[in-house]
Amino acid sequence: MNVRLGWRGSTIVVVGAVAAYSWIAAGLRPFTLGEEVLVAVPGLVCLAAAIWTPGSPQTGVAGASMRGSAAIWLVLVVAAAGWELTAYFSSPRSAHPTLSVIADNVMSVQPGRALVFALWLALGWILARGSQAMHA
Amino acid sequence: MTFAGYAAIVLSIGVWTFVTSRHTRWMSLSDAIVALTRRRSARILVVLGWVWLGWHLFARGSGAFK
Repeated sequence: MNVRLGWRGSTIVVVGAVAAYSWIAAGLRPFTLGEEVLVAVPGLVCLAAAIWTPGSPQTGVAGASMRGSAAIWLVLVVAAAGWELTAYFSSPRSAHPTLSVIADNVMSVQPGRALVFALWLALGWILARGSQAMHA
Repeated sequence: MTFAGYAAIVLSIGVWTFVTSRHTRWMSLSDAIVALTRRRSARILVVLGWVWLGWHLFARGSGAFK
């Protein structure tokens, strides 16, 4: 039997599979073999995709406006990292939560944990595929 | 205070994402990700960081079912 899915059908299948996988992973506790396997499998898949996806050539010389806007992205990333480090080296933790502590609060229930897991999977695929994920 | 700082940074990223998406000559969020992952070696490093994040949050995180 030859079954062909359209773009919409494929999207529904992928989203459903990611949601189901995330829900199962969110139901397992840290420091268990099952959770380690469910985290390691997508990690290895994305690492393999990052290795096998070819690099993409630069599309021309960046103009001043492109360089300036890139610098602002860099400033935002440095600000986020700096703020996280400031919180990490401050105490008490309740007054200075790190992003991990905030994430732990969101992930204290299975729906929140499943949502964060699904976002983590999506981010991994985007990073592993690079421009091919952006222009798919 | 710490929450306010995080909120300000997230808000700034959201505003900048919106602003850059309206100007084709500025680097948008997707442009930044493409630039970051253009070279295979850089992409592998970024993905390794992502793997560490997932391991830290899910396989070793302490927040599950508190």
